[in-house]
Amino acid sequence: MEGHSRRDLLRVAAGAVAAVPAIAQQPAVAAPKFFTPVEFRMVDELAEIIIPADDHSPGARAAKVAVYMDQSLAESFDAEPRQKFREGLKVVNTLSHQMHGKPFMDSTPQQRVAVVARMAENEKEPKKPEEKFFGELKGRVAFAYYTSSIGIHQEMEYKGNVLQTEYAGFDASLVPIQLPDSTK
Amino acid sequence: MVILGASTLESARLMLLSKSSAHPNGIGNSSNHVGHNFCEHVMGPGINGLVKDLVGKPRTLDDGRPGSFYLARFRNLTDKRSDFIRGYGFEGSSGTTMIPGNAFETLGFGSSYKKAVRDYAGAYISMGAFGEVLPRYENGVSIDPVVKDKWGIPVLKFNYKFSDNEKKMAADMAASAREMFEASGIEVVSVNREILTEGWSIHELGTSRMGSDPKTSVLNQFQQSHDVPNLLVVDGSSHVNASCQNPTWTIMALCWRSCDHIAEELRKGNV
Repeated sequence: MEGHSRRDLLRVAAGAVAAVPAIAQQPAVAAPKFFTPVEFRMVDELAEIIIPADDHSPGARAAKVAVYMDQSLAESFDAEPRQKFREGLKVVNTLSHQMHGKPFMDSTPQQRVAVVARMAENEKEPKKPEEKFFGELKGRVAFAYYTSSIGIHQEMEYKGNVLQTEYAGFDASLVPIQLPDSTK
Repeated sequence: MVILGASTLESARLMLLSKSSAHPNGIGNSSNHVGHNFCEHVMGPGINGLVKDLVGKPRTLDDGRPGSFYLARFRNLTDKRSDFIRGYGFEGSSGTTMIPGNAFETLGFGSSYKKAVRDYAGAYISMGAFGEVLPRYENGVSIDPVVKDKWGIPVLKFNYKFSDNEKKMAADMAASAREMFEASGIEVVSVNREILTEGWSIHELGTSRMGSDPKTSVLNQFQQSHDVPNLLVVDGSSHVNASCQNPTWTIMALCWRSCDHIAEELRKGNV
């Protein structure tokens, strides 16, 4: 059943599987709720540049960080974060034009990294719009990645949230201790 | 028998609003101490450090291990300081968590950023102080003559400021935190010296203080009103000072004492 959604399983249970070719219907990437397709690809690329796949674990792209960011922005009660983020992406393209004479996604991989490096120049005290957007972007990418299954289990190798059969702590009662004389 | 436990601020508000010819300043307030001596904890100063020996080590299971700690008060117990009285404790934490907090502090991007987050997660240790705000008569709450809540009931007006003692204590919190980390071989990442604004601790205490003299206190040792014997106030109102610990257990212990007293009086047929 690997790869089937809960809904598919319910369809199987209802005997309707023959009428619905579930796997064929599954799109490779769900349609973004907030980002335009162009914006989505750009966020996906920026996220992978910030947290790339390495020899230790997959990166932001595999963790579907852009999907998470799209959903969280789409679901924000406030319109302001959406506007700010969209403006931020425009700023990235403006910077890319200034540096390489073309939009971010039309640049070479090396040029894209150079754009992000420029954005990250003053991370501690961001002043320019692209520097400020870098903090916003990176915060969202990091949150989405490190709360994903890949981030928690593959990248960080989180060992917790399991049944522990023995007390994991330090048992102070086993330490010999000389108590002060309370009569003095 | 009326047992009031609306929390320190709301109990004071209710008592101050409960005026009658017998209690013109509010019920149980012949001493004019209801709403006064408001105190809590001064917070803000703290430290973040790095245990270098833990950097890059294989991930461990830290859930359920005492990675969090409490440092009990140590100031002004034996050696007295000249710049402030009373003291503070520290609450701290360390160890691996499910979501690496350092991901949001580590600079840079790309594989070096990712590796730094991975290597340094679990190597950090941090702590923050809780200090005693001295009880002072002039620190307190009163009924606002103008502003009312959405039910038309007057709200509380705060007249509450930290004094020099809290500010000097806070300066010492930051200094002692650094001293302890350095002496422990922990690399200091950052020291926070800023005091959080008044009220931040949300440990409100002391608006109907306990005492043996009805002229200078509101409640007796059983948290029973000196003026109105069938009124007890069983929240943080009775505390005569904030000390530096979280107050819940003391509130519970005093409430237990009040309950024992009521039960005993009931048994004797006095209630």
